[in-house]
Amino acid sequence: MLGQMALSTTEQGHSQLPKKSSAALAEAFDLHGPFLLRVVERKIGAGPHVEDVVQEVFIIAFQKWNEIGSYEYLKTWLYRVAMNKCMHAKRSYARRGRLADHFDQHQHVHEEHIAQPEAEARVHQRDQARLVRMAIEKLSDSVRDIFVLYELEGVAGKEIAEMLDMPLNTIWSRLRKARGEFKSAWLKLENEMNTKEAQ
Amino acid sequence: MTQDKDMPRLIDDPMFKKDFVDLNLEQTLLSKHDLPDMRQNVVKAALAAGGISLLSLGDAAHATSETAASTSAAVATATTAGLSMKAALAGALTLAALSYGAGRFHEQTIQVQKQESAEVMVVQPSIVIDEKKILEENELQEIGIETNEQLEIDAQGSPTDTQNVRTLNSSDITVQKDQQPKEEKAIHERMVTKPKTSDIAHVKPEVASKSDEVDMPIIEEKLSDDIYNQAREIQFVPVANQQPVLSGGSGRVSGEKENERTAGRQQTTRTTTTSTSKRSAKMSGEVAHFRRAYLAMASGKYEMAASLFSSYLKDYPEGELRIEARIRWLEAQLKLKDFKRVKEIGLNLSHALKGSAYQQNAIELTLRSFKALGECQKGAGVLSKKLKEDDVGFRKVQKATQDICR
Repeated sequence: MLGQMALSTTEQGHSQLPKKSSAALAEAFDLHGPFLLRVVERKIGAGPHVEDVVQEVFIIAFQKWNEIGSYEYLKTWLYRVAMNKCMHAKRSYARRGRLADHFDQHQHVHEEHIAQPEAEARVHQRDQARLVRMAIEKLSDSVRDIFVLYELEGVAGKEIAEMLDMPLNTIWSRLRKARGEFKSAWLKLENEMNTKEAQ
Repeated sequence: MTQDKDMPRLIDDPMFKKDFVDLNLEQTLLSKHDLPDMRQNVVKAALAAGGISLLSLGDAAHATSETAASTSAAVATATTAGLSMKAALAGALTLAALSYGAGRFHEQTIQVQKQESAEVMVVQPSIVIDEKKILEENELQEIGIETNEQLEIDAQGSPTDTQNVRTLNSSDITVQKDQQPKEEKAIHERMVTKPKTSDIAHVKPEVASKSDEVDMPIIEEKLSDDIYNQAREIQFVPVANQQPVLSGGSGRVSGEKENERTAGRQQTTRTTTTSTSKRSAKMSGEVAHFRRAYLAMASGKYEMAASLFSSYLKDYPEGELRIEARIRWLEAQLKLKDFKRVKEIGLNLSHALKGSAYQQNAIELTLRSFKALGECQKGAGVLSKKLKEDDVGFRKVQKATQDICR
């Protein structure tokens, strides 16, 4: 994929971004858009506001294209801007008290979309998927991003360290903590679910 | 000790799946997005918000709206400081001439600080002179008084390099304000009274786009060839010791003030700036032309867009937007269902744009024309053959084939 952006290499061995153009932006979107959509959705919940946030991120990227510098930094840059935008979005939704509504609403939409009456296994899967999402939401803020990036997005440790501007060892220690939190959250949720079913 | 190697991921761990859960399940909760549609929207919104002029200026200018392109930057600088347009041009041109007289030209940079403004970039006047770089003699001859300047609107509003840089403030240039034409005063007033906002990025694309439509003509008007030529006709007085005096024109650069300001400092060879060059004046026409074509395209007037892009390519064969214009022209032709033409030209363009980010667009357009003719696979074959020696291009064809011909 990297080769597609007509890159030139800087003295530091980094690939320079192609010249600012709509084509370059479109290509950047192809490369990083889906990733951003996923992380933003996990951060602020599903809904049309996810696309708004991502679109805004790319608009800013286009405006500041020449400041981004190297190709390697693009993903990190986009991620950071996206996280800032998520924070703004969260705050603005929280102010309006609509965040919870949004989550519930879209959760419901997804349930409808996923639930296929003909397959019992599918229903079970749906429940499990919901539990995973709920367990992730129960993680503390300091470790959730790392867990999502590493375990769900498959981003390398080093890259996460750059994205979150943290030492690599901190990433690993927080990841271990996140795994522990996830396991306990998962077990707790599963127990609750089993208890409900038994009742 | 730092653990450089990544840990095994839970998502791939069978034991974790068995004991706990398959994390892949979470993916099923993610929304499905219409990526091609969104991609198009993102590009359109970015162009509307960022201004088309940015495309042409590329590395040279960072700006947030079309009206803040390099050509207008100097004018905005002058108007903000209460100077007339002519004075802005004349002042800059005089400085250039003075330096030429002294026999030493230095590359200069104008940094225009961005003041927060949603609709018009109002900039603070500061001419930053870089004493490190020296212009080539032939460059000067080639461009007359325009130099190989680097015009930069600093989006952060702060100078990027303070070392070896001297700054001429607005007070360094005095202008007889009574000579300022009324029209220019009105424009100045209009520009400086624009509403401000703290974050350009938050401006809705529609707003930015609207403001572009309103403000663009003003800038172009002020940078018309007449004014430019008028400024060029000013008699320059080359003075070795740099007592800047402008004979003719409507502006006067005060040497006294400059001396006052630099008093006590080590005298250095004066370096010069030209804020508005012939090149940037030309550029605004070019961008305006492209913009008209682009807007025609965006509003679905493909025939008009095709003819405007075509005339753009004729008028500006060396324009910085020529490749984009060719792609857009091709796209317009595709919309006009001239598939055979798109097919032929697209094939050549795909080959010619080797190594360019636009190659992907050319390939996609070509393939779409083949598809419209019911020969998608054949088109993929022809393209692959044409680009067999271009590895990157070949991969792009494969990707486009998957996307388009499936």
